[in-house]
Amino acid sequence: MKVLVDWDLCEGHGQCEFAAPDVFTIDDEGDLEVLDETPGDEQRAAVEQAIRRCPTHALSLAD
Amino acid sequence: MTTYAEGPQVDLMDLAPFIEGRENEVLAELREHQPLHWNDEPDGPGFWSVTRYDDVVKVVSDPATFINGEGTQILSRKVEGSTSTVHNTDPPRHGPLRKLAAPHLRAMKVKEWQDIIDECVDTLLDDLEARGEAELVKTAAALLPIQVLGQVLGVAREDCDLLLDWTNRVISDDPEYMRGPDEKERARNEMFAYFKELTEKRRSAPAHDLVSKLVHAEFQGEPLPWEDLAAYYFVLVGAGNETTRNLITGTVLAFDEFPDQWDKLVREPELLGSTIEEMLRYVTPIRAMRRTATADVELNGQTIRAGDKVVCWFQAANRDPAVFEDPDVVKIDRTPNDHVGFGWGIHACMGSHLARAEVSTFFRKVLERGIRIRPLAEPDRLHTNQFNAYKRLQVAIEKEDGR
Repeated sequence: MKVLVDWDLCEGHGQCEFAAPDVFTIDDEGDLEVLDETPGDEQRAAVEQAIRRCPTHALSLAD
Repeated sequence: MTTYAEGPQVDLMDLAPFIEGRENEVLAELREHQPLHWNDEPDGPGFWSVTRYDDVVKVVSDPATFINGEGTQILSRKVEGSTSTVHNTDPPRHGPLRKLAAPHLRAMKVKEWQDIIDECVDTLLDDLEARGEAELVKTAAALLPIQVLGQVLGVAREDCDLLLDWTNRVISDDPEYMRGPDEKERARNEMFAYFKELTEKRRSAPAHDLVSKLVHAEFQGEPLPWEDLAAYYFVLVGAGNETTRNLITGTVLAFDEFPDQWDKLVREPELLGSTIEEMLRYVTPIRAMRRTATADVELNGQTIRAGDKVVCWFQAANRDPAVFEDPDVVKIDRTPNDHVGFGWGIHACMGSHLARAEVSTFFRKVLERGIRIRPLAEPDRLHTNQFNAYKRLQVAIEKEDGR
């Protein structure tokens, strides 16, 4: 799976970092950094949770 | 209750159902029969209410059509007075302004405050256990968020009582906290005077706290002027304080209502994370936030006119049976749980991670100590329709058998 970010929508709320801290992090400027753009299947549940819980709908998956 | 076809007159400005704890019946009536509801106001222009999950998400996800800049209180005013907080700021200014504080409250950063949270919770639970019986809000629920937030901001521990008093007086319209008609203004001025002094101290000698970060931050190439700093402090203190305490108190009440769920959590403490999410849904400390339409919008067959107020009821959305199975039941293992207890959209709660850390630490330590906090009477609820807030809850602290 591949994680896609719509950078126009992302505001750095960091709910993704809460749901999947091995895949997403927020830096000191408040910007999202994707630590692993192609996470393994063991991260799928966490990444799907991150996508659902993003309040600006900035995340999606390409399989 | 009557149905829409029979023309019920639900008046959300009538505080009785909110004070008596039967507001969910009223909100369910609207969600089912009048998903876009018009409410007259005695001293205002009136407002629309949206109560279905999809409609609430739709409105708060469209910050161009539904703005915060005209205020987010149901009443036509801004609680912070003439200053403009990040909460009442719209794009394009909103995003960069939010990013001045948000990274310091993110999930990973909050871990740096865990020792302070642990220490605060231990002190409060020691005190509760020693008392055996106590008024929960005053003794613990109101103290935890203000003590933690105070230290995150850089306020000295001994001054945290002041913060609490200011918040009580500024946020609420409850007559109990109002010593006079200009009380809000006075409380605002006292708080701003205190923070002005703290600002100057941190300007010359920065410390590891949020006030220092904001004082030394640059916004569009310039330091924030005093008015913007003051507004920022205001929103952090108000939002960080008036919410988490009610989640703690509301959770104690919810476990009293669903004791089997407490027993389940005792057996399966690994469910604490999903428990907190479920309580955010079930309790919904901030019931509603208001937006103002910038254009005419069709919704559920009616027209919202440009300039109309639109109140988004997160509490009603969080109990929408279209999204949540058995919405009026607490299920601590509910998954998925796409609640809007922290709001939604660009203005979603900035302190969510801190709130989660505080409340989960509180109940983790209650579990570890083998105690149970049991309500002894009905709570006294704050006289407001916008916040699910408690003034008092008498509780017993009991050692659980065999634990």
